[in-house]
Amino acid sequence: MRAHGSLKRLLSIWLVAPLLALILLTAIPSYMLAVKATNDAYDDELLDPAIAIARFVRVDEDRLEVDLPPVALDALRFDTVNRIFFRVTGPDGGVIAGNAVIPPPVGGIDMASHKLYSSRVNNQRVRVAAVTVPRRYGPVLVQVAETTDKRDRLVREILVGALVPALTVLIAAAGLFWFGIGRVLAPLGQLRAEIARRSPADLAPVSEAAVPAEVKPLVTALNLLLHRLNAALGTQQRFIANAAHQLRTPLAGLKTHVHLALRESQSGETRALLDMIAGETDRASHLANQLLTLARAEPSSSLPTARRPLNLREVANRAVQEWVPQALQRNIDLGFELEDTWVLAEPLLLRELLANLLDNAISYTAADGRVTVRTRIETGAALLEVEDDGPGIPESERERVFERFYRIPGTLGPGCGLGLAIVREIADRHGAEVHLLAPDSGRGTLVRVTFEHLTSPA
Amino acid sequence: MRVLLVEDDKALADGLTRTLRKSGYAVDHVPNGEMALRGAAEEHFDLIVLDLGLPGMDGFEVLSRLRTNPQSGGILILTARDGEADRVKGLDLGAADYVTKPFALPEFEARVRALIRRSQAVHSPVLAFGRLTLHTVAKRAQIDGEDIELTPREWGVLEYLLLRAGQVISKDQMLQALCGWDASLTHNTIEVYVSRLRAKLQTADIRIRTVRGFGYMVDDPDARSR
Repeated sequence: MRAHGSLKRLLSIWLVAPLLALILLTAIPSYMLAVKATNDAYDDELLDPAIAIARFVRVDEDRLEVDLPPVALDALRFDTVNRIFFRVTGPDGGVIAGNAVIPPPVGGIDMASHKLYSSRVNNQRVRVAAVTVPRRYGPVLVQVAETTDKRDRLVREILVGALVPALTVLIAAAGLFWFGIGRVLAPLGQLRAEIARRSPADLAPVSEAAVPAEVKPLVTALNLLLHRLNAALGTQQRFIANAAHQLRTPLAGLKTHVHLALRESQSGETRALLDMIAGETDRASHLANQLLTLARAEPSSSLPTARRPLNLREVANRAVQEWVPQALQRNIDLGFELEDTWVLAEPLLLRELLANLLDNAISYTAADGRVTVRTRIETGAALLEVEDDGPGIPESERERVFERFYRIPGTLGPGCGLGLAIVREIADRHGAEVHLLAPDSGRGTLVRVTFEHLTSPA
Repeated sequence: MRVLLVEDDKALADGLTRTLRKSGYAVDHVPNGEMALRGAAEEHFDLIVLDLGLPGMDGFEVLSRLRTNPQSGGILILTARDGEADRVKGLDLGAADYVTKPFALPEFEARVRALIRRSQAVHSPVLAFGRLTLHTVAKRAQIDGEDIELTPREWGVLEYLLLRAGQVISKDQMLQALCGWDASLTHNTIEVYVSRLRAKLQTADIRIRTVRGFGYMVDDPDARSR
């Protein structure tokens, strides 16, 4: 048996095929029985004309004669279905009367008795009734044979009568097996659907409640595997999160001291050096933050996350406090066009997504530039947009900028090339799409994140 | 002004202590929650800067115990955790504001100033913003000692914005805070008051910035540019 293939099909075949064989096997005794019953029924009828002919065998002037009236001969010759042959053979083996050569009975025949047997005449199967009558010169053999058409037909009818109901039962059984097996295997289908439906991040154990006893060990083994996988991933995620976390306090200390030193320093050279340290510190903090976010946003992340109905407008509102002062410092007009836009999302990740978009927009827009955050609903989709009038991203770079640590050649300023990679990771995790577009004004960049719109916030 | 700094990381504590002293505050530093509670019980502080990740007693526990003491001023949380739940829990337990590590020094200073100013507004009736002086009890404002004419509504808007200098304030937030004295307040009327205030404050160094599509922000006059 093949190791694969549909369980349902295999089960059906294994149930239906033996059943069919059994039915065919029982047909053999049925056939033999039918043949015997048919012969019993017709043999008497065949014997009668043989005895009648024997009665007409007379000795006439030293010759044996059969004196059959023509009417009787006609009756013998014609039958609606069968063809009838007869032959009367004298003691010397000479033919006295008859219309065919009929083989004698195998093993001979006693005097003054009769015998019934099957044979062939003119290459046709026949049934023969043989009678011997004693006459002066010895025994006279009278044979009457009829073709087996009538008998065959009766046998066929008996067989069909027996087989048709059996085969009908077989077909009905096959249907019932198919249906029943389907019902029995339904929990397996549900199990498959449950596993297929899962998001890649979902490593929770599979429910064992509705599973049949035979499948339970499989599910238990699967759950054990999921559990181990979860634990291993959890360890890794926690390590990254912890490392990023632990970095934050010393980085805060470093940032504080660099700022203080900058305020104290008099010499231009020291200031320049401290400025560089401040810049590097900022980059290091940024990187620690980004790594933590990536660890969270990764599809396999097992850090606790909770998706809930969320208004994109609120996410934008929360970003205001952090980003407006930074924008104003660079004389960038950071504005908002916000509508209530509900999505199902993880608040922390969405905030991080917007922060990365704003960080990019503000970093790459020149002083006196304009950055606009927009939330709106368009053709049933929830949109979060950040538009700037900076230098824009060339068409050829629009896919590459999503790669981790990739920066457009010649890019200046802080940044580690993780921003858009993070944006895409977070979007992917929410089933959202990120598109880089050219704004209507033709200048700058429009980043559009398209979420599934949640029509009825809980 | 007295500030209690509760932070176990020596380097960060040292940097923050220096910063706050430079700004003219008297700073006491303790490295754990037990000492913080003891210190806060004995003396009054206008502001407590509390790190949530402390050794020994949990930061949240320290926070909720500190709040049972009505003497203590506002509490600013420092945290290396950025979970939404932690932030909400901290604010629920009575913290006035929070800063996530690693923060930029100016951001930290701005929040400290805002909290001190608010706790001050409760205790002292006169607040100075550069050349502008607010007399919170008399509801009068002066530029270089000279009164400026303000309607009660203009005063309300100005006081609300100045006490939150350095923070972006949404029009909705202002509506919610100010509709107590004027139910007919709308986004448009707020815009009218702000434009009148801008005209009247021309000679002071107060700048009310518009945040397009959102609200306003008054530059913190005490913020140092580095």
